[in-house]
Amino acid sequence: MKKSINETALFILMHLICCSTFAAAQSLSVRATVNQTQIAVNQQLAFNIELVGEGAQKVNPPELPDMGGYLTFLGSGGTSQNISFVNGKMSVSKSFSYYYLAVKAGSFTIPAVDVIYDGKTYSSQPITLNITATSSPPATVAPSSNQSGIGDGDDLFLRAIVSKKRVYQNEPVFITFRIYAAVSVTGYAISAAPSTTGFWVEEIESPQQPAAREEVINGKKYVTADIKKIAIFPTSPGQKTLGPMTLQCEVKVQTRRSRDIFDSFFDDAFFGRTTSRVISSPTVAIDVLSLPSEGRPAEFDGAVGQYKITAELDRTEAKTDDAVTLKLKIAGSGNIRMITKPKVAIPTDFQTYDPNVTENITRESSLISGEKIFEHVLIPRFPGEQRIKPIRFAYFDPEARQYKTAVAPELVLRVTQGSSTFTGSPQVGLGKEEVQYVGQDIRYIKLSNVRLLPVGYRIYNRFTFFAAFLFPFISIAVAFMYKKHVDKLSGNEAYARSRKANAMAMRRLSRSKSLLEPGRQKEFYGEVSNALVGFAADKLNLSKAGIISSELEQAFKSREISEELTHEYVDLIHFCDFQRFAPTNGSKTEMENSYQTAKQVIVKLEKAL
Amino acid sequence: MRKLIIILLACIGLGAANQADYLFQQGNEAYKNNQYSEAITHYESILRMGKTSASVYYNLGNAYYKNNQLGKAIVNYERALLLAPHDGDIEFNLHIAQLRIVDKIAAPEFDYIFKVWQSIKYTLSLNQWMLSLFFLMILITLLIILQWFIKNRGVQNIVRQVLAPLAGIFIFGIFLFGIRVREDISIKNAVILEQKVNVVSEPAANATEVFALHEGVKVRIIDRSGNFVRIRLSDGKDGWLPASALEII
Repeated sequence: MKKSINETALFILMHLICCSTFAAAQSLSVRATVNQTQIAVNQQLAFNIELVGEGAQKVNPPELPDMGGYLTFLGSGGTSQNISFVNGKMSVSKSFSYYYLAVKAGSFTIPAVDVIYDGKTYSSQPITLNITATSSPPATVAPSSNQSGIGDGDDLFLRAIVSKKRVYQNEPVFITFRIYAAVSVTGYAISAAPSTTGFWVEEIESPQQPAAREEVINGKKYVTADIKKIAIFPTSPGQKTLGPMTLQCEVKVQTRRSRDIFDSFFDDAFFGRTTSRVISSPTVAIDVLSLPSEGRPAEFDGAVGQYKITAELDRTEAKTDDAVTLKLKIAGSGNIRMITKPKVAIPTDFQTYDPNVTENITRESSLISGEKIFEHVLIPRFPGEQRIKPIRFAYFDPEARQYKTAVAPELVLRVTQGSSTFTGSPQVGLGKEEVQYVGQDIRYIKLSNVRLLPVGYRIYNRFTFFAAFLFPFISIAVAFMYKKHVDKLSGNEAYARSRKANAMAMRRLSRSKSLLEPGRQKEFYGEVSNALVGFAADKLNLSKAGIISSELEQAFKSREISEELTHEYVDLIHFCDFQRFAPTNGSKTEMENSYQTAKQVIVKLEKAL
Repeated sequence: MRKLIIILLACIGLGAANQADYLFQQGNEAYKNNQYSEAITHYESILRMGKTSASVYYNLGNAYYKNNQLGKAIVNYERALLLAPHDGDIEFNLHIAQLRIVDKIAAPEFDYIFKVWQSIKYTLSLNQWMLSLFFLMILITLLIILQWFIKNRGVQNIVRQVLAPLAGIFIFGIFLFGIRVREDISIKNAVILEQKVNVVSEPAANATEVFALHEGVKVRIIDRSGNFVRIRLSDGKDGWLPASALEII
C-alpha cells in the first residue's frame, strides 16, 4: 500500500522540530494546535496535540475535548514521536493528530486538553475557532490557484457493509469496508482501524490490490473497491458499536483544461498533482442477543456455530505403560478460537497429561471455519478393557436458534499386560519399611486346629452372657443375707433361740406322735407339754426350767398376744400336765385331739409373735 | 462331588467336631501338596458346616493367596485376626498380601494417645474380652464375699485394698467392651474382590466415575441402596460400588 506524503504530516513534522528546540525544560508541556482558525462548514480541520519534555513518550493518547457539535470527528491521523539530541541533551516529543469536519457555523473554542502523567495534570491552551457558514462550495475548500474540483462528500466515501445487525453473542458479523470513489484515487492508507471494543476480531485477508468494480448510486457512477474485511464476534450481549475506520486517500486534483501540451502531458496519475483527503466509515450499531437460557445443556461452554466432533485413539490395543493418543477434533464454523476442551471421562486407570491443542482456522469472506484438535496422551496402567465414555460437545446453532450437542461415540481400548508388571509382584513405590518384605513368601499354614467355634459366634448374643452377669448379684445378695444371719446368731441369744424354737417344737411334737398309743399316755402328754412350754420359752427368751403359767400369761400379755390365744395355750398346757399325772388312761381320740390342738396353737402363736 | 462324599462319609463315621478336624487335616494335606484349590474346598466346607477358628481362616487365607486370589486371602486373614488378634503369623501374612494391593491408600496419621487407646481396645478379641471380664467379675464377687467373713482385721483390709482397683479395672473393661460390641454391630468392613471396580458418585449403573479400586482394598461400608453399597476409605474418599464387588469381613 502506498502511503503518500501529506501536507499535514509535514506541518506536524515542522512543528515538532520547532518544538524540540524549545524543549530545554525537562517538565512536560502540552500544546494543542490547529492548522487553521478560520474555517468554513464542511471543511476539514487538523487538530494536533503535542507533548514535549520528560515522559512525553510514555503518555497515553489524551482524551479528546468535546467539540460541542461544531466539529465531528473524522479519524485519527496517527502518532509520531521524535527524540533529538541538542547539545547533548535529549529532548522527546510526541504528537497525536486528529481530523475533524466542521459542521456548524459559529465561533467555537476548543477546550483545553488535559494530559495526566505521573499523577500530574498538564493542560494545553484553548483554541478559538471561527467557523463560517458554507458560503463557498466545497470546491473552494482549498482555493489554490489551479486546484479545484475536488469532489465533496458524495464523490468519495467509505461504507461499512454489515452482514447482520442482530446477532447472538459469539455469532460472527462480517464487515466489509468499501470505498466509493467518483474521483480518481491514486492511493490510500488506513489511518485508523475501527475500534472494536467488546468484540473479538478475525481479520479476513484481502488481496494486496483490491479489485475495482463499478457501481451506480443515484445515477452517479462510482468505482468501488473492498479494502478491508473483518469478522467480529460480540463477546457480551447488549447494544454494541463498531467505531469508524478512517482512510487517508490521495486524490488526483482535477486541473483545468489547458491547451498546453506539457500540462496535458502531466495530467495523469503519475505526474498529476494530488491532494490528501480523509474519509471515515460510519459507526455501526449491532444488537447482540444473549444466548437463550432454556434448553442449555450442561456441557455448553460458549461455542456458537455449527460443529462436529470426532474422537479417535491411535490404536485399539495397547500394552500397559504404552502411550496412547486420544485425538479429539472439533470442526465446523463459528468462534473456534474460543472453544474450550470438552470434558473427557478418562478412566482413572490411565495416567494422563494435559492435552496438546492445535487450531486451524480458515477465514473466508462470509465464513470463519476450521478445527480445533485436542491431543491427549494416555498411559494405561492396568490390563483389561478400558472404555472412554462418549464425549459430548454442546454448541448453540444461531441458524436453528437452539442448542445442539455433538457426540463422539464410545472408545474401547484393550490393554494387555506389558513387560513391566503391576499384578503378581509387589508394586513400586513401597516404603522403606515395606521393602524388607518384598519377595518374601507368606508363612506356612497352622497345622493344629485349636478349638472350633460356630461361625460368627458372639458371646454377647447369648442368653448365658446375661445370665452370667446375674451370678455375682445373686451370690453377693445371698452371702449378704447369710452374713446378717450369722451376725445375729453370734451376737444375740434370744434371736438364736427364737430361730431354733420352731424346729425344737416340731421335733418334740413328732416324737410325741410316736407315743400316740393308749399305754403311753403319760409320756405323750409330757412331750406335748414340753413342746408347748419350750416353744413359748424359746420364742420369748424365758428360762424353761420351772416356768409357771402365770409367768407365761404375763409374758404373753407384754407381747400383746390376744387373751383368747393365751387362754387356749395355757389351758392346753394345764390339761397336758393334768393328764400326765392322772391315774386313768385317757382315750386315744382325746390324745389325738390334744396333739392337733397343740400343733394349731404353736402355729397361731408363731404367727401372733 | 468329592467334597460331598467326604462330608457324607464324615457324617456317617464321625461326630461333628471330628468331621471338621478331618476336613482341616485334608485341607492341610492338599496345601502341603500345592493343591491349593483343593485345600480351599476343604477349608470352605468346614465353614459351611458352621464351624470355624482362627486357624481355619488363616489356612484358608494362605490357600487363597497361593491360588492368586488376593481379595479372598485378605478377607480371611482379616477374619482370622478378629478371632486371634496379635497373632504374629496372621499379621505377617496379611502384611505380605497387602503389599500386592495396587492402590496405595494413605492411612490417616493418629496421635500417640489415640494409638494407645486403640491398642488397649483391640488387645483381645471380642470373645476373649468377654471371658476375661467374666473371670474378673467372679474374682471380684468372691473377694467381696470373702472380706465379709474374714475375722482378722488386717487380712480384711488387704482384701479390700485389692478389691478397689480390681473394681475400677472391671468398670473400665465393661466400658471398652461396650464400645467393642457397638463397633462389632455397627461397623461393617469389607474387602474388594474384583480385580478392578469403578467407584461411582451415586448408586446407579450410569453414574459418574469418581475413582477406581483394585482387589484387596479394605473399605468400610457406610450405607446400602439396592445392589449398591456406599463405602469409605481410610483416607476419607467415599463413593458407591456394586455390592457384588466386595465381601464383608
